[in-house]
Amino acid sequence: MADYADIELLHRFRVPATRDAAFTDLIKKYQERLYWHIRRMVLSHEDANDLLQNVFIRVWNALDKFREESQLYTWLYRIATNECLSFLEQQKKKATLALSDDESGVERQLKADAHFDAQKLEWKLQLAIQQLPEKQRLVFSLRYFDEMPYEEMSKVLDTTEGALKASYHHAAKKIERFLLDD
Amino acid sequence: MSEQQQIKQELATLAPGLPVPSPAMPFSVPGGYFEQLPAAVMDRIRLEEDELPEILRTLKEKNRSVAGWPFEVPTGYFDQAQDTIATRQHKTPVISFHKRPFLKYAVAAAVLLMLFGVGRWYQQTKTPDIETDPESWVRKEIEKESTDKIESYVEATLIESSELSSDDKKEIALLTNDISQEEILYLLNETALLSTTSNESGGQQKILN
Repeated sequence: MADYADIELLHRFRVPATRDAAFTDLIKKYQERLYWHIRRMVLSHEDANDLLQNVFIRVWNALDKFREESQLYTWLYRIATNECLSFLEQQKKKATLALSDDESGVERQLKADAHFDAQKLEWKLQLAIQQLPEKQRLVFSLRYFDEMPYEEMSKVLDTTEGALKASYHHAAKKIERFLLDD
Repeated sequence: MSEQQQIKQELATLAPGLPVPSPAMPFSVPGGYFEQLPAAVMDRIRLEEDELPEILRTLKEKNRSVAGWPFEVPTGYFDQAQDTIATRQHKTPVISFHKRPFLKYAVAAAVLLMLFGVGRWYQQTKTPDIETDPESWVRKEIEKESTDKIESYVEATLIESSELSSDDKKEIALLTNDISQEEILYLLNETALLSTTSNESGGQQKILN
């Protein structure tokens, strides 16, 4: 069942006089959740900012046709996830061969952050997460950080709940092993 | 149990080494980023819409406000659509399989063809009775054997039959005592027997001896 506040937002959006205000409220409500979801995938703030703005532009253009069959936030997460995956796919195509094979591109990117501290658990956890394949990283991130139910996750990622549970289990084990071996 | 509690329990079982709750994100965000983001997004939306010619902007607005615009739908169409579909389903004629004449004839023809085929196959494979139809029986049995086997049998039979026992030879000698060799050879030539045995070495001499 849709959130009452979301229903009200949608109704206000459909009225031309209140559309802008309704959309601004929608952005304020979901910006942080979507930002962190994207940032965990792409790592860079600049990339995350671009993608987040693209997501909201898409939402503006498509919100009239939103059928309310799922939760609004599920629908927003789905758009954000697809943006991330398209972006990462483009990045892979553009990537040149690394001079050194000792570190992957994402590890380098993490370590390049001004606040990076390899001793701190939160950074180690991020390093561990970046070792995972893209889809597994998404599943782990949505469950562990966003505490998303599997039922909602299956709508976001268009995958069965069983497959998601299996993916999450594998991801959690891998990350634990990475943290304990370090 | 709330979702949060479920997740904690799940992690405790799966990977007890992972911190719960999740640690804060280590990434930094520029100061005031989230405060300015809504305005930045709305500015971008207005910029994109301003780039559209006036006429297209108006049409887009119209499309938003009137569902399906510019296409029109008869009044009450969606209310009665379900009933219309249900009625059409009932009215659609269902022709029973048994009442289709073409199918009946096709099935009959297929059955006849099958019976004919089976009958023909049976006729060809059935072994004739040796007492009632010995010629067919022999023909049937010979068909089972290879040509090479038959040829070697015939050759062996001819060779055997051309070899006479000593008693037979004495009898023949007595009978042909007053017949000259030339007359015997002439007789053999006339009956073509000589040619069948002349393939053997010394065939003529064997006969005369």
